[in-house]
Amino acid sequence: MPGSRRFGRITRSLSLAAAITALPVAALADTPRERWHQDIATGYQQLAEHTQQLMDAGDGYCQGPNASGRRQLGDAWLQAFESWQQVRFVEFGPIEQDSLAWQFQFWPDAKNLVARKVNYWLSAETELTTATIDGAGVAVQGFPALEFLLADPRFQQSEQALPAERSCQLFNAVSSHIHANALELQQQWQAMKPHYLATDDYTHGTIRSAMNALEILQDRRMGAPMGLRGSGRRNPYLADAWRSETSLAGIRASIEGLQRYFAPGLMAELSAQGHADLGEQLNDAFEEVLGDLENAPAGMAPLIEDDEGFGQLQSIYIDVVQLEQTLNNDIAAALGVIRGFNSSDGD
Amino acid sequence: MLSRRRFLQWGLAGLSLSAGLPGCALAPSGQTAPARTRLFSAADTEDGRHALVSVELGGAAPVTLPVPERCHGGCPSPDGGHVVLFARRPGRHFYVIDSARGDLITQVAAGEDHHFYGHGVFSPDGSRLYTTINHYPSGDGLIGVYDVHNGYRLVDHLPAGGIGPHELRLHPDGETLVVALGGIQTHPDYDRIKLNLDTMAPALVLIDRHSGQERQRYQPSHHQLSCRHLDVSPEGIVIAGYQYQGPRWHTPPLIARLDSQARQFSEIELPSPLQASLNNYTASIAIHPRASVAAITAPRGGRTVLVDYQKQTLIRELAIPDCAGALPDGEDGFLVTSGNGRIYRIDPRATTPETLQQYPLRWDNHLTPLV
Repeated sequence: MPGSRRFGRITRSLSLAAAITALPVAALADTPRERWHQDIATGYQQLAEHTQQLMDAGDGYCQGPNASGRRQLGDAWLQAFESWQQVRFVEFGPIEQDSLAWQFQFWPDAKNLVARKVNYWLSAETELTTATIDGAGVAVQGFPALEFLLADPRFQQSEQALPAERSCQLFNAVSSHIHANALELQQQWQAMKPHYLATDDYTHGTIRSAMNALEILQDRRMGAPMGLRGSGRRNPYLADAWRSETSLAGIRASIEGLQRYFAPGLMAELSAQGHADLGEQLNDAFEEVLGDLENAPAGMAPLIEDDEGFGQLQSIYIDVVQLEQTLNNDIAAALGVIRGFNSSDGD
Repeated sequence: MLSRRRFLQWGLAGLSLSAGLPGCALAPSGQTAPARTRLFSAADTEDGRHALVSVELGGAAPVTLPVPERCHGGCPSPDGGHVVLFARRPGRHFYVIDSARGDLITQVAAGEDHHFYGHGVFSPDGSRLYTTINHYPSGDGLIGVYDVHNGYRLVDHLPAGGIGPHELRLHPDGETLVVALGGIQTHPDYDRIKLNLDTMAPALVLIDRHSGQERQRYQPSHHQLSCRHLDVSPEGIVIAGYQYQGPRWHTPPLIARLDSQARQFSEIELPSPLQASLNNYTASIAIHPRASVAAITAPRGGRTVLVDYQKQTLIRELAIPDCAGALPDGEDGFLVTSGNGRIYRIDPRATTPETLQQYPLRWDNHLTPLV
C-alpha cells in the first residue's frame, strides 16, 4: 500500500515539528501533581486542536475533493491520532467516563468489528449525523473507524471509497464525535484540577498509569505482533493502526507523550524523594528508544516480514523493555509504588 | 467435561505449579484437623498463571489447581462435599471441586451466547445450583439453574430482572434469591468495555427461586452506582456493595442496607474522608452471622470497613493493601485476603489487622468457606 507508506513518512516530520513547538509551552510548576496536571492539559489541548483540524480537513476534502486535499486529510488523521497516542497513558480522570478511551480507539479488535460496524453504517439507510455516531458504539466512534475509511486496502478499491457521499457523511460524523470528546476531555480535566491536586493518592496513581501504558505498549502493541506472546507467530495485524501502516509511528508518539507529559512531573517527584539519579537513567532510556525509532519506518509490517527488519524491531523492543524496567521496577521500587492485583483489575 | 484422566493431568500440572509454594504437598488434605479453617479462592501465581486454591489455616501449604481463565467467586454445597468456583466475567466455565480430595470433579460450560458473571449459590438441599449469566446477544441477565445430582446439567434459565446480575445469595427463607444487579452491559466481543454507562439501571432484587418471580426491587440513589456484591444475615438483612461509574471526584455512598422483612432500603454513608478514600469501589461483602457486623473490602482504597449493620454506623476502618476476599471468623471477626498474598484476621476491637499467613499468590476478589 504505497500511499500509506508515504502517509507514515509525513507523520514523522509532523511529529518532530510538534515536539519542537510544544517544548517551551509548559511553565515550571511547584509540585509533581501541578506539573502533571499542566503537562497533561497541554496534551489534551493539542488533541482538541488536532481533532478540530481533522474535522475541518474532512469537510474541506468532501466539499472539493482533489489529490492535495486527500493528502492533507491523511496527514490530519495522523496528526490527531499521534496526539491521542501522546496522552493515551492517562487512564484516570475524565478519560474513564463513558469509556472515553475506548471511544477514541477501540483496540484490540480481534473480530474486526471496526470493519463490520463501518460497513454496517455505510449500508444502513438511516441518516448519518454526529448524533447517530454518539449512540453507535465504540467500534465506529474513534480513530480506527476513520482509519478504515482512509486506508483499508479493500475498501479503497470499492465504490464507497472516499469521497463517496455516504462515506463522507460517516467521516464527518465520526470526526465531529472525536472532536467533541476531545473538547469534553479538555474541559473535564480542568474541572478535575482541584481534586487531582488535593488528593495525594494521585501521585502514585499517575505513575501507575504510565507503568500500565508501558506494559501494554511492550506486551500488546509490540510483543503480540512480534510473536512474543501466545502462538509465537509474527502477525502484523495484531498491532494497532496496521491499516494505515503507522503502528510504529503510534508507538513513537506514545513514548514521546510519556517523555513530554509524564516524565517532567516524575522527575520532580524523584528529586523530591532523593532519587534524581533514577530520573537521569529514565531520560537515557527514553533517548535510546526514540533514537532507535528515528530510523524505523512508520509501519511495523515491513519489519515483521523480513528477518533483517525483524532484527531492527527486536532492537527497538529491547530498548522498550529497558525503559519499562527502569520505570516499573527501579523507579516504582524506589518510590514505593505498588500495583495491586485486585485494586488495578477487580470486578 | 473433563475425564478422570484429565483430572490426573491437571493434578500433575498442579504439582509443577505448586513447586514454588513453600512446603506444598499436592496430596489433598483429606486428613484435615476439624478445628482448622479451610478456605477456597481463585488466585494468580506470582508469574501470572491462574489457579483455584484450597488452603487450610495453620495447616499444610495450599493445594493449587491450574485453570486457563481467571476465576472470581465461589460457593460451597450445603453438605460441604463440593465447592464450586466460577470464571470471572466474561467467564465461560464453572469448576466443581471435591472438597475432601481437593481435585476437580467437573467443569461446566456456559454454553453458546452465554457467559458467567463469577458467582453462584446452592439451594438449601444442595440439589440446585444458581448462577448469574449474561445472554450477550440480547444483554439479558439470567439466573442459570443447574441440577447438581445430574452432573450439574442446566435445567432452567430464570430472568434476573435486568442487565448485569453479579453476586447472588440465598435468603434465610430458603426460597428467595437475593441478586445484586450491576446494571452494566458488556459483550465478549468488546472485551470488558462498559457499553451502557448512560442508561444503566442497577438494582437489588429478590427473586423466587422456583418461579423466577420478582418479589422485591430497590434502586441505588444514583443510576451509575453498580450494585455488585452482597451478603445476607440470618434475620434477612442484606448488605450490598456498589462500584460507582461516575467521576472520581464524586463520593456517593457505596454500601446499601435492606431489611427484607420490613422492606426498608437505605444507604450507609461513611464519614467524608473515609468515604472519599474508598475510591468509589467495593469488592467483597461479609456479614457475621453471630454479631451485628459486616465487613466491606475496598481494594482501590486499600481499606476494609467494618459497620454495625443494625445501627448502620461505622465501627472502624483498617488499612489493608489490595484487600479482596472476606469471611466471618470467630465470634465477631473476619478473615481478609489480599493481592499481596496475605491472609489477615481483623477484629472490631483491634486497630490493626493481624497477618495470619502469607503465600506467594495473589488472592482474587472473593473467599469461599468450606462449610
